[in-house]
Amino acid sequence: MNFNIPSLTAEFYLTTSPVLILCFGALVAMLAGVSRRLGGELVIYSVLLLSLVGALAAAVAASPGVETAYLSGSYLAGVLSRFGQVLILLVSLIVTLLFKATFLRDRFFRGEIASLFLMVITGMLITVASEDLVTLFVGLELSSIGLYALVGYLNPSRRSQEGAIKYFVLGSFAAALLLFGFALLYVSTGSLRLTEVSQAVPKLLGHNWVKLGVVFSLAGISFKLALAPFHLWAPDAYESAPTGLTALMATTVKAMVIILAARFFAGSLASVYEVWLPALMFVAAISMILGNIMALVQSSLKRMLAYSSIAHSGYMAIAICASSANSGSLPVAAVLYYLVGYTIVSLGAFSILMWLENKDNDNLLLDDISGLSKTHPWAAFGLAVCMFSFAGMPPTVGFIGKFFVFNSALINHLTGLVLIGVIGSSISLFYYLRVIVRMYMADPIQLPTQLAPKPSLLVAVVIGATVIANLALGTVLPEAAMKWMVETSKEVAAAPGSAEDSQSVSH
Amino acid sequence: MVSIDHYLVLATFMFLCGTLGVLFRRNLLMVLMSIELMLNAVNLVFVSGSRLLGNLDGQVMVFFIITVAACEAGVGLAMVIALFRRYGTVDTNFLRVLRG
Repeated sequence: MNFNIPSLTAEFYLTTSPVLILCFGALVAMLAGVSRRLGGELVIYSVLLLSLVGALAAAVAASPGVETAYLSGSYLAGVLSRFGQVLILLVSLIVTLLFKATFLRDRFFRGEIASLFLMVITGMLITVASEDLVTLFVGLELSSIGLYALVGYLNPSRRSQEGAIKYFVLGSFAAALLLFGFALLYVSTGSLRLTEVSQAVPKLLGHNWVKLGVVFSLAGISFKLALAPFHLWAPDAYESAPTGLTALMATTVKAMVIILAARFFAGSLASVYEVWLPALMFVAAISMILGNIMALVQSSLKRMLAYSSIAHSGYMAIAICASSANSGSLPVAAVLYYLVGYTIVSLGAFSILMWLENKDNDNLLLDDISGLSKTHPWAAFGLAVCMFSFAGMPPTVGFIGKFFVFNSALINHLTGLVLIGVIGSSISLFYYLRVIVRMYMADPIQLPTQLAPKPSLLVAVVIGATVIANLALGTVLPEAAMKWMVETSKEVAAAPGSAEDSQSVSH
Repeated sequence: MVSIDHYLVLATFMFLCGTLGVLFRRNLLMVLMSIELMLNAVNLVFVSGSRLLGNLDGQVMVFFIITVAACEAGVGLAMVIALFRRYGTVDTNFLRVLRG
């Protein structure tokens, strides 16, 4: 009989060091928070920064080369895992820095909250690197449960308590759907590893339990991705959460689930795409239509961006649909490109909102930013670039991203979906341009408390960096970046090698 | 003879009961219990699958699900208690500040 001895080698610890560093940071933050002397803002801030920077350095330094599986295939080190981890860590580092410039700084930099925050990031890192349904589920829930708690606890008002409860109930419901799908896949295929599931599923297509398993997993993932008609939690959660957390939900959570969906559908279940393709096409189409139409009637900016994020999930789902039909790695590369662009733009938009907000006005309305170009010209300029990019206007990254996604769908004959996508984008122009018109062509209105009275160097740097990255990816970099994305997404389809094969011991 | 299908049908039935509970119950505690029911239906599938296939992966997964369900119940109950202490109700109809 063969037993695989878990390879707890130095190489394993090096590869998983981002996760380990964050876990350690979370524990330190929790312990420091208990002590009255050590629990100050400065200590917690440095713990947060040190662990995030350390994890980021470790993730960048990990040299993946060949995709390798550790711990009997639960933890996957490879180019795609590293891509996801670096993206998530970078965004969370920027969000942490930005919290320092907001009115929530004395609440955010406390032991228990910092610890929850680091745990959420840990869960995301585990999820993007998991190849096993157990690790995947644990990572996903670690990040979700932490976020439910943070949304309700960071700034407890009636609104955020209500949003947290809705987020919690629908999120747990989604987790149960996803698990039921996994359970049926396990019963039919006899394995919890994605590679083994993908080998076994094509032979079992006659069985209805397998199909049901695939459909339930799709529903669960659509819930987590906020695809309509499973989107109901997203607007409430986005609006009620403190804006820093909304930024985290719109960027890192989305990145995590998109990478997961790419692995799951474009990788493992690509051979049985006829089961999930119609369902995914349906949710993608509904999300693009409903997300864009509902965004038209919103007065709160965060709620508008929530509906717009539903529509953007729909665009990304198009490319995942396209990756079904033996299409190579181009569609997955298009998703990753779109994801990077969307992350940069969302981060820019939410960081501007974060900076403008204050204690009396933590949910900006469209009216509140009237004439912003006269009071805060640079913030207005940054927000305008973000809006152009969301709408997909050249020369921004939004345009190139949409181009790659629609192109990969057209190559694979998904003309109907592309048509709906184009109609959706033209509807979206209306509400994105309305923000710009309100900022540049309306007169400033008198607010009870002034928005962002003092300038902040950090916010200026973040806004400048997102604008530059946005325009660079939209003009000079696309070709080089896309080549890199194709390299990154190659391993989605390929089965990973195992670090333990050489070490299995016979008894 | 009881086959795997019997277990799966029973689990699906439990899962549907839980789903209906989440969708139609107005009391948040009942909603939480319905989610637990859904997770236990999943556990039943994993355990019966594990027994059928003769491998222990399903049993291990069940332990993880039980643990995560406990964490989820902890966070959920904390939120419900916070809501009840502040507003004296656990009715979902009360949650209607956010809409549109």
